[in-house]
Amino acid sequence: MKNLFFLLCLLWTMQAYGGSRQLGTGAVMQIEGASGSGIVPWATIAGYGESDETDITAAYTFLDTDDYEFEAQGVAVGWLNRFEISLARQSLDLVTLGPAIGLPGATLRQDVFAAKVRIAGNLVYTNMPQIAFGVQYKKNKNFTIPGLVGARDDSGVDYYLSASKLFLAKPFGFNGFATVTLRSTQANETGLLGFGGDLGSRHLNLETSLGLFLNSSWAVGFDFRQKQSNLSFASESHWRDVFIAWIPNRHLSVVAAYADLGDVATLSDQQGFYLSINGSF
Amino acid sequence: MNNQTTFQWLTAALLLCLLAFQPLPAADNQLYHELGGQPTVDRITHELLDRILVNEKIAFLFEDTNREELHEKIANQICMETGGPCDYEGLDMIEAHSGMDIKYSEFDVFVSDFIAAMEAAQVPYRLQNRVLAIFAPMREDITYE
Repeated sequence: MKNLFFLLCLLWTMQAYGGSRQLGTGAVMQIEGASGSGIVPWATIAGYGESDETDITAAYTFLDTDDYEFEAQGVAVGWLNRFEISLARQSLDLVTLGPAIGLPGATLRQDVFAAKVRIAGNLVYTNMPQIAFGVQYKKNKNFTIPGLVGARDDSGVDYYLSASKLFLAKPFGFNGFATVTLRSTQANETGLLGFGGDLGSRHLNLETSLGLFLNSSWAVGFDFRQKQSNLSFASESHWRDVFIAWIPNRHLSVVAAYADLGDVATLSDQQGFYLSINGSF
Repeated sequence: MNNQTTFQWLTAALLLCLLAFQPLPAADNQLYHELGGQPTVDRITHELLDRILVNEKIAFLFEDTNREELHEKIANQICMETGGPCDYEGLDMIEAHSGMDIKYSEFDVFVSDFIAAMEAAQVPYRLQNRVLAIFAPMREDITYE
């Protein structure tokens, strides 16, 4: 019911006016609420607002693997194509593990409060890439399970530096795009399993996105996100996905992806389809 | 810093350098002919003026010129920049727009109309991108921000 209401809000946003930046340059909301692609934050500012405009984006994301169901809802405000603040609520339903540990219905939840500032460059118009610095404060809603598996803290802060660039007419006349993001984080499984552990705490990880606009409203690409293992009870895998995005106008974008999350909390080979719906107004 | 971390920093630094220092595109002399020459350039210009002169967000920027004069200037510049047999005789981009206080958002609205004009003139997507790649770096000269 809550999701239905959310979708109606998204549809309503399509009636309103967005910013004036070019189609696709707002990217989409990644799982932690930042403007980016599926699992990687980009240097882009959410929505389509230019230096004298404000744009608001909301998104609903769902990922289903064999043993988990992941859900995220987020809102982001892009201000003057300079600042972005966002809030995301994530949940991970332990479909298989819950019953196995005697907690059927067990779901890990966290909130992510985040901010990003564009430091230099423009995604489209400057030779240098657009560069941004971002902060994500993450807080577990319930620390019981993260605490049981050895996490040290129920909250943590990620810092990232990101460079994004759109390559007009390259390669082969198509518009290519690339992002490199460096993230400093203590999070276990992005924070859903708490922060820090018996094997370590803060690490520096590399994340990348590469892709191509096939025409003005369809894009394809892939993401890679390096991860660390802080908990000896189960090692983490690097994440990757391939995605296709449909961006019919400045108010709606839909992303479908196939994600490979590898081993997640002792369960191996977690793969599945990812769907994300974004609205901007 | 352990070896893995050092490696990550180096990889990231290298990628950033690659992104930052990519060479400027070489002169694209074939583009004018691939577009279809002067008829297409005139068609794009016509479609563009149909849009920008009635677009409430930017029409005021063109109040001091008449349509014929504007058509000649814009068509002439598209011709020259795409490698056609024209000599652009107008002011350069900085002079032509000085004192107009054009905002980034107004520039972006113009670009959207320009894309729509190329679409209406049936310019294929990949050629549209090559045209945009020529004009995109001019943003800093045209706007005042």
